[in-house]
Amino acid sequence: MANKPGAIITYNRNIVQKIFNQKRKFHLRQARLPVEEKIKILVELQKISLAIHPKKSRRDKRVVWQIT
Amino acid sequence: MDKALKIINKMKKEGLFSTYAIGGGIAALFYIEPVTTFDLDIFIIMPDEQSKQLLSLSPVYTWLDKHGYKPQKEQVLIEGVPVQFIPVYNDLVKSAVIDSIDKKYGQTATRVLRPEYLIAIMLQAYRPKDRDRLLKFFEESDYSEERLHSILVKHNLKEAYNNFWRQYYGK
Repeated sequence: MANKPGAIITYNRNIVQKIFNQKRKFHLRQARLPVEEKIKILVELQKISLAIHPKKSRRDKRVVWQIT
Repeated sequence: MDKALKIINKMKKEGLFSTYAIGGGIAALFYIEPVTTFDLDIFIIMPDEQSKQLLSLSPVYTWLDKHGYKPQKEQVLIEGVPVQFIPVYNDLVKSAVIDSIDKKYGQTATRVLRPEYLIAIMLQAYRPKDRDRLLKFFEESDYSEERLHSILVKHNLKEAYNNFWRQYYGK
């Protein structure tokens, strides 16, 4: 395969296409989850978001939802 | 979130607003994969007699305060969820609330904007986060093209829709 660069590209393209398809299916599966499950995910996303972008002022009203 | 929704349903029952529907990022969550958002947007239509007067949210905030939910600027923490009450601010949003659909969160009944109206509102607002969510709506949600088309025509958003598709899908 090393002597046929074109073949390598084709081979990689297939892999990349497969990865993209799997990602697309993952997002669709996430979109089909029950809304209650999505809210649990949302709370985790809020924690991650505040860890990455901490509050810089008192005007910033972002809080992680305190729900059970 | 069901506890917060029960409080909102109680407010409607007591006549603080004639109807409501969940909008914004939480409404989107009913149709697409979870996206980060921090507040629950509640679009409300005020009772008839009040909407004829100068629009004021003070009865809403007074009620909340009386029931132990302290408003902080434009939002109020209800059972751990920051809620924003937004009076319908144009014809599109008003139609979206009137035409919203019944949904359940756990055992609690609520109303949520239809995906077609959410798409139209995002095309109208067109902030960077709206553009991100629009892509997800077109790829992940089950929406009616016929209903969307009719809303876009009625509210003069067909051009915004065509521009979006040209920009993001080259069509």
